[in-house]
Amino acid sequence: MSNRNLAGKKDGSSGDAVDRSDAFSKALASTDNPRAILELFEKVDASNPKPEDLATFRQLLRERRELWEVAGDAAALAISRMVSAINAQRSVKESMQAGVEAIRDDLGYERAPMLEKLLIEQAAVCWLRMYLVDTAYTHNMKGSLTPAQGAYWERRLSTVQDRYLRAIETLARVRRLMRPVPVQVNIGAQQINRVEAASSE
Amino acid sequence: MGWEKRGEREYFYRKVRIGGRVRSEYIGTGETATLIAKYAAILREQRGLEAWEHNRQRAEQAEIDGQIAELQEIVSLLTKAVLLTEGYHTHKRQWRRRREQQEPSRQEGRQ
Repeated sequence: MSNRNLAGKKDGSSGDAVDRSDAFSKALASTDNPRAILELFEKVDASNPKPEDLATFRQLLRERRELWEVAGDAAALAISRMVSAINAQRSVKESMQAGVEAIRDDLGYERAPMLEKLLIEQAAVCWLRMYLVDTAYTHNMKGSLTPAQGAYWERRLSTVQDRYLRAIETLARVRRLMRPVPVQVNIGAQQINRVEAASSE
Repeated sequence: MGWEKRGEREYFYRKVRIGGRVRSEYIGTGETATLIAKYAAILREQRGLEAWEHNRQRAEQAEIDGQIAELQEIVSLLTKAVLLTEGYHTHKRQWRRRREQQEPSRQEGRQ
């Protein structure tokens, strides 16, 4: 993850101009006070955020489900677009959808908290993209291609493979961070194991 | 490839590149040349259709890649937001829990 804050500015920068990403703008546009939410993002992303700002923002993430739904909708749209773009019979397209659902199940979607659900959706989208590009790559490599076309397909396959690996790594990293870790606490002569969140990657 | 008129008759020529220069190569005249010219036109149209289809697929794939990139951007922002509110921060490109949130467990250990 980059060191830029959520608004796109480097840490410590000041000024009124906000360089928001289009995706983030869309997420904010679904709320009734996007400017306030953005300002809160910036406070939370500062080097020493105030505890009250962190608490407020945590509450905001819990209450503003539309921020999460934008991501869920984006994932569903990407999958729908990929499946509809396939030039194949309906049964093949349905098997693609089933494959995506199997990936979600394998990654524990049903029991996962909200953030992990999004990361699992992202991984499933990247998996489907990789599968389709790999299929097209294999098909095209059987025919005669110019060196430029061959290099194009090699680059495409490499890109989608990297994207899928990064999605899986991010899911694993967040799970590791958020997973409670048993901590041994000594009170007097007694040794007690207490469960706390993980401290670092 | 193209027809060139010499007097009253038409002759069919093909353009070829030899050593960096373009030269005209005589193909023929009459009915044979007409058939060759039609075949060349069909090949050109086929290549044009293939190129159009190739470009259409590339544009479609680029659009899908754009949607996936947008999804990744939103998920990345939300991930960062959650980790920040849960007391994590980045240090040398790694996520770490803030020191003040670790201290209570150390204090308990000293009791």
